[in-house]
Amino acid sequence: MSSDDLSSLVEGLTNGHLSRRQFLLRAAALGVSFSTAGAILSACGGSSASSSSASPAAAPATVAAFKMRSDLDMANVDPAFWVSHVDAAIGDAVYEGLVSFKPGTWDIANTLADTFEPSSDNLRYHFTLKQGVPYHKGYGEITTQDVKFSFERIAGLSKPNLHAVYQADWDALESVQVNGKYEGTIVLKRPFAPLMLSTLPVMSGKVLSQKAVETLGKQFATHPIGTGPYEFASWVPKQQVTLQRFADYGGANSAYAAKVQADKILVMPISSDTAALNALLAGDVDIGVVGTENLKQVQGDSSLSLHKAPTQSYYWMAMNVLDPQLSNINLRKAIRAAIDVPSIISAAYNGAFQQAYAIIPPSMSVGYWPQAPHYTQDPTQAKSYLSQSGLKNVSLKLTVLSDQVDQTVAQVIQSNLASIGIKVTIEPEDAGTFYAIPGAGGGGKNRQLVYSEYSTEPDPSWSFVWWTSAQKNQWNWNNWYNTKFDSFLSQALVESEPAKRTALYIQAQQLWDAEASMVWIAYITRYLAGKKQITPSIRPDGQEIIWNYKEA
Amino acid sequence: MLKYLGTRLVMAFVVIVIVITFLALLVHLIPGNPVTTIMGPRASPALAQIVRHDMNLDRPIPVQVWDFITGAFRGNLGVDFVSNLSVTSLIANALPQTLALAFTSLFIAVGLGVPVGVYAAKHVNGAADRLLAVVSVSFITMPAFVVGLLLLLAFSVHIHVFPAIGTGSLSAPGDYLRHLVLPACALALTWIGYIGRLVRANMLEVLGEPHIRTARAHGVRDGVVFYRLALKNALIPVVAVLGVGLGSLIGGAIFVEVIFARPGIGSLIYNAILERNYPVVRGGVLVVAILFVFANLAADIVYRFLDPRVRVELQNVKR
Amino acid sequence: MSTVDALPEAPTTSASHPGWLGEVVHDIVHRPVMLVGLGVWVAFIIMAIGGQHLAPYAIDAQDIAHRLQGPSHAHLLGTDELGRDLLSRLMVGTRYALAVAIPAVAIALVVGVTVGMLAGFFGGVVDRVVVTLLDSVQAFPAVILALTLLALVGHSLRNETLVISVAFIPSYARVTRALVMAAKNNQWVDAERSLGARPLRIVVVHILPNIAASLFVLMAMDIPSAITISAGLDFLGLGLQPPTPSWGGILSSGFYYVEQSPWPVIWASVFLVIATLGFTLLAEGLRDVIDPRLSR
Repeated sequence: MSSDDLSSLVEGLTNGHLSRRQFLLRAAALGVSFSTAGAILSACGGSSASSSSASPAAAPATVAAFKMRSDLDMANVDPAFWVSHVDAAIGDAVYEGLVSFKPGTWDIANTLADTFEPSSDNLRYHFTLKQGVPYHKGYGEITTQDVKFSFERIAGLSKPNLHAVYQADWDALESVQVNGKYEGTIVLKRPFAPLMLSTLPVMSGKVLSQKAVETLGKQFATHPIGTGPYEFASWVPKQQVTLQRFADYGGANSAYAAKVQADKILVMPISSDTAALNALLAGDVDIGVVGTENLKQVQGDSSLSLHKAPTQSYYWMAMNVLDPQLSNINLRKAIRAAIDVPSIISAAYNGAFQQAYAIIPPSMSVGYWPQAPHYTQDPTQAKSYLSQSGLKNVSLKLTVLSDQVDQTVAQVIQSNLASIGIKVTIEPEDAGTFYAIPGAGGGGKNRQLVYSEYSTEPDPSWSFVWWTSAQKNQWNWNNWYNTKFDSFLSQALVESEPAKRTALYIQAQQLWDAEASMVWIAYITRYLAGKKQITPSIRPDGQEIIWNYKEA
Repeated sequence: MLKYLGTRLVMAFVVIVIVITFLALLVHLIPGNPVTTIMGPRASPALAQIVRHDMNLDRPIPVQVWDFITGAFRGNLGVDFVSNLSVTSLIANALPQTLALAFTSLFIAVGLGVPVGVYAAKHVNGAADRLLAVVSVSFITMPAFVVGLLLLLAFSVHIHVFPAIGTGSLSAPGDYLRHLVLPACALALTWIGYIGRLVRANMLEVLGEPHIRTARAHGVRDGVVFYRLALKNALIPVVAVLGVGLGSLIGGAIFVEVIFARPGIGSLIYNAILERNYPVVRGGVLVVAILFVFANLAADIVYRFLDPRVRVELQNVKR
Repeated sequence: MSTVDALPEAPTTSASHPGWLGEVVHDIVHRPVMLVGLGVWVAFIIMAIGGQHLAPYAIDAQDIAHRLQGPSHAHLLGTDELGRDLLSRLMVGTRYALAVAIPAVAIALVVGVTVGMLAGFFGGVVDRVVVTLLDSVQAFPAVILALTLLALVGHSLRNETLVISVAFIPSYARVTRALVMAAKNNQWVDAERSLGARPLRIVVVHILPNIAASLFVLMAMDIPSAITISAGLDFLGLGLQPPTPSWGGILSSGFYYVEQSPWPVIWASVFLVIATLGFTLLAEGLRDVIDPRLSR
């Protein structure tokens, strides 16, 4: 074996072309002893290597299983149709994308991509794939054709058109060109700033096995196949999702993530926060989200640790500006001045959420508006606006979801507005009725005040998308349509410079604030409680990275 | 007897067909749209149309009803449109849990209720009897969900004796039983009181009868009189009640399953109602109704079989 | 829940002879258990009628700084998740409990008796159809029937009342039907018929009074059941909605916050149990008094 061979191997290792596993295999093939290879690996280091020796025999100690509580059950894990953050968390363990966020950060690293190069005009993204990366359950290795299939189906370019829920993530896609078995180019119709933030590194950018999707058809949604470190083993609805460590994992994330520790991950949906807390205390689950009401109990228990995970999801109360009463801006200002947001956060969320003053939270990489006005409860001011409005005996309906917490919020709002003489009737609706598409026979047009939350992906365009004119009769329950607002947003979509994007988003938020049609309540903070020895892995926006949990 | 059985079976069949038809029509009377529930704030009208088609909601109503009826008889109760799992498989997963709960409750109820009733009959009108009467009536009137909440509060939240949620795993039978204790007791409490009263009343009635007096006059020992002769006859109505009890326990299990976060057909139906998951509500309620009808029927027949002397129609007003 | 009743062939009750009211009162006074039941009834009716006027605090007076506290001088039973006084809310909750249960049972009585009369009197096809329909309604456990119907028609006081009454109708219908059929074959009635009396008159004048006492007892027994079912529906979130201070609703939010404070659950349970226990004791006593033949 020549030293040239070995040095080219080492070069491959250091510039990321070879994963540690591949290095070891090739080194072994070249006749290098394990200890030598191990020493080389240690010398080359690696930010996420947690093991002292790198030989496979001394891998980090394994854990039989992590039992995790989820607040919702798995619903649909197909990247085109996924429903909740639980689906996204499972998808993140089972699938991989060309690139990913390094766990716990917004830094991008290559995952399935060996190389990834945007063109200077941000319209063409040339990539090569790591070779020999297998799919679960014998569906072969990943090729460029799989990448083409995965992205084009969401973009609506496949025949028949899937009508994917997340089509907007790939709306700018022209096509994915296949230049070779492991080489391709993503071609866009126009620049798309969120591509590297909320499309490629998350669910919409996962690379599926074309063969698996076509074979499994509808079943794919609940029997996902990917290249990730865990494969999907089974699902007993409302009881448990079992993920099994993928023995033949291709190591696509080994440059920035340690080998997974648990042989199994059990995702256990427990909808009641009380039941979940008891499960945690009793040891029936190892770790999971806990309700804001239970933080004190967790902190008081010495065997548990609490982890704070601020998200970018936001609670809001919208006023339907098309309603005859609410079209009066002074009434809206009166309402905004009458509501005591801190007491809502205190009563409903145990004071554990961060108050919101605008739609974009500080943690979003672009678009945060630090100078957003802070409105506090001011009954005198509110009554003055009310009398300026000229309206008498105002009576409004407040529509909320029928769960306990939303009802609590509604009752505080009702009480706040009662103190300035506005009568509020609470209309709790179960999820079915609440989310009935407005306009399509649904309730949006007839609503007056609505309280809810929207979640988002790590790009402001995602937060704003539901509030534009395009969402008329769909999810824009504000019913405020303004072309200037829309144009700020569409410009920000194609603008690639972050500072300019932020300026545009701030302008949009200023315009919206002047309209006084929203009362911003809070950004959701998720709290994970678990056994002290377990360290969870959390994305900066609170999404749980379940495959990367570690136990000491 | 056979004629009676035949008539009752036909009646049961007719009732079930009526129930199925009602449930098939239910879908169209509920406001709100199932598609958007699950899709949340992300579904578009185009997608809604597709899902509506997949769920066969765009075919004429009589066709849907007929399809459901014929499907139901073939064991096909539809598909949960979100998970694409068959409703039958969801129910098959959930039902055994509820049945385990119901049977354990009945076991506890009989195991405690019968001795209580016998004891009270033995010491009739004494202090113990009066006390038991009050206790029994208290038990009868306490709703299962209140009992469940209080038991949870006492033995799980503050004292951590019993687990608070779930079923535990069947591979560890001891653990599974531990998870059953509180929920089963919550459901059983009412029935302990009720069976206790029933057994006492029946025992007293039987003990007053001629053949018992004759036996006593002939010197048959009290113990034999009590347990061999009287108890056997006194238990007959209890059997009838058990059949009905099973059916209503399955219905009452909803509360206990929600409170203790147990999977089962009760929580399956309840969550499906909240999510407007039509196929599951329809299928679940149908299965519960069928079980209820047959439990009642079986209890009735067993009762008649055991005691053909009873000629008045047993007016079953038990819920 | 009513107990299993075996019906007598030819009903005669003590209600049919003069001076029976005096006897009933006498019997009531001499049974302490019944007096307790009566006391509970009176207390709850006063609370229901008095409503907010009797309660120490306004039921929607929020005090978020003092939420989920236990019993204290200021709040005898403690506060709920929005700092509202539990005692006041539970007292006013009595109104909702009775406002659902009593009309529900009354409606079930009226409808059930009518239907039962028709079935029993006309017999034949009418009877078969009615019985089959009654069986269909009774094919569902009451709670499941109520849940499913409520999901259909939506939550409101009126809907909850109607839905619960549907669950109770079959029992009144059956009792009436059986009694009417038995009475039909009574020689007495034949005599009237041969004298040319119209069927309706026979029914109203001769049959109804005889069964009135039994039906009254059934009603008394069903009211606590109805209270329980409505509390259950409110607990599941499918009945009366917040901020209505229904007992089931207080239990439901109490359950959510039970780790923080057990008091809402405890006190709401106490109110519910006292109500059902008290009403049941009175009903059982009434039954013992009015028709000894029916008691077991």
